[in-house]
Amino acid sequence: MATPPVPVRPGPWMFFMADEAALVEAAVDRLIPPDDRGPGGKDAGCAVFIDRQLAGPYGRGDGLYMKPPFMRGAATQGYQMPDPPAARYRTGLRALADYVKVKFPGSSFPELPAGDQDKVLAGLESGSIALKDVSGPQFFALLLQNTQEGFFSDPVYGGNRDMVGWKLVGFPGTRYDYRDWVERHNEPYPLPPVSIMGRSDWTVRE
Amino acid sequence: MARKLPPKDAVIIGLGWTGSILAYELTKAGFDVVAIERGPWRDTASDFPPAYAQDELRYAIRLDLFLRPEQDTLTFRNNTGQTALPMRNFVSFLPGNGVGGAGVHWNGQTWRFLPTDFRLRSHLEERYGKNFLPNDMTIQDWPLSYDDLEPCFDRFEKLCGTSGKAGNIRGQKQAGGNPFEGWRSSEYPTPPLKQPYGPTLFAEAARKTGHNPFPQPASNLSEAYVNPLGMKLGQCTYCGFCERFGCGNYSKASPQTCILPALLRFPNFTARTESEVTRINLDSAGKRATGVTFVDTSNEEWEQPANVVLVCAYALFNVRLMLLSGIGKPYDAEAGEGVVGRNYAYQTTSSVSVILKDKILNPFIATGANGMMIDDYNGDNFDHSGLGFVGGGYMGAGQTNGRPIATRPIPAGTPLWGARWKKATA
Repeated sequence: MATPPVPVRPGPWMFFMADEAALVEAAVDRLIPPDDRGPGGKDAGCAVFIDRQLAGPYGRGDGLYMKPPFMRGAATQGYQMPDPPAARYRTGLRALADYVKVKFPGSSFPELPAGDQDKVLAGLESGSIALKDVSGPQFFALLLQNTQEGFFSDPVYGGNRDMVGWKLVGFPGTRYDYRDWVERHNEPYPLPPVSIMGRSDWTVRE
Repeated sequence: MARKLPPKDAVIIGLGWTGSILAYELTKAGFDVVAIERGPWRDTASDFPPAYAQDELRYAIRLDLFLRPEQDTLTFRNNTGQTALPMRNFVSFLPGNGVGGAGVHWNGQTWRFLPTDFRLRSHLEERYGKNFLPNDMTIQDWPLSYDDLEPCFDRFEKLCGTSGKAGNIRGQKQAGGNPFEGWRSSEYPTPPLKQPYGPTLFAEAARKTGHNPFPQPASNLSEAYVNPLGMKLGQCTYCGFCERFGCGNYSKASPQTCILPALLRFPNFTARTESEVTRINLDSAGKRATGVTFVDTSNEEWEQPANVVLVCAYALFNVRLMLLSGIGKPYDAEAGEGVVGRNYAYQTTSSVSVILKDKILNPFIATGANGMMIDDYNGDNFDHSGLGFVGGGYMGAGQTNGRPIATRPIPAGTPLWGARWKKATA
């Protein structure tokens, strides 16, 4: 039977090692940078979201078909390797950290200036940077997908903190009933977003 | 060795739309019926309550309600020169699973076939000549006509409470409906849904250019409705969580909202969930089905004998079961022989995204099937002489959601991340 999602709680990392977490926090803040429209990926909790996802069923690849044969297929045949998302992060982050160590001696990814971080990420995306034993474009695509999931999914999962992702794009969340608004054409919808957990201003403060 | 269960009059493989409709008819007629469903039991109140059903990540991205490849997947290749590999996750199509099947998570778009679809080869040869279709085109007529099926379309729409506007009632054209549709014996059970701004703009433009816009037939209901089985459906709230989701508002037609509560009142109906049929058993001559073999969650194998076996597991899985059971002649694409698996086609729709910079569209105000459509370019509704193709499709503007993980329209050429992406997506 279906069950409600269990709200993510703040606290120590559940999947990432400290250096991995620092790398991911730096990366999500370049994928979605803070600006005058609002917080970036880090303050929105995208790294926390990814951490909790990787520590759970998603990270384990629950539900996916994970049995042999593992053969390289055509691009249209999708990801065909045996490692679930958690393992892909572990190897991908290590390979990325190793690349940075060689390319920028004395610095780790979080210590690089934003411009250099962007260059590294763009190189991963395009495939112009070769990581050891990891496909850069595939790892980048996974990281970008999960970062945007964290920014725009319900805050119950640990990202989209204070619904900043929804506020950015004007999404009212789980408002549920728009019957009075269907035919109010070309008018901005006036109500602020609501999450599965409600809104912070509806909650008793301790 | 499979353990044998007491025989039934009928066994139904799969308890989705077709399974539940047939189960209701047979059970009501007094037959002893069992339905065997590979997925879990699901009902509205406990499985998709509005309290937490509007969860894009869980349902639309992680695909909570669908078949899990871990349980059952397919291998595929794009052509015979490739090696078929397993689909490790589902992307291009999403098989249903569990009671209600794909009827739980569909959008409710409830089109009828065009009359010419039933006799397409004859129709095209009559209109364009015997030599119009190339020899390698496998188009053929159905043994049924639109007129044969009209009462069934009508009955299904009344079961669902479909919202729409008729364009042709017994040959009389109706203003505001689809002028190209086949005749209907009655108006839609409920009036059309309200239309958001985007579809309204499309309809205005279509009208101005001489086309015939009409509201898309929708089994997300425009008003409360009681169907012929006494099932009560509620008015759709345009919540924007329809396709890939179960409806917690009893507004989307599904086996759960339209049939199952009535079916379950019959003592001569049984459903076995989380049990997967692996084979249809045949008599010694291989000519008659005698029942099915299925496996339960503890890997126990059971045999269910029955006088009638109904294969209701969706075209793809029906074909696979028939092939695994040695029924019929498998389709051979090289030789063009055999019928089991021949002409399998998946629904394909294509789309273009339009960004209207000076308009406020509120795309999150949506149902799975709202939208304004034109049928002027569907089927053979226009002259194909000299065009080099047959067929067509409906066109229209309908937005089923504004859910932000998957729906992030940005102008072509915008980077997919970083400062410029954020500015464009905001």
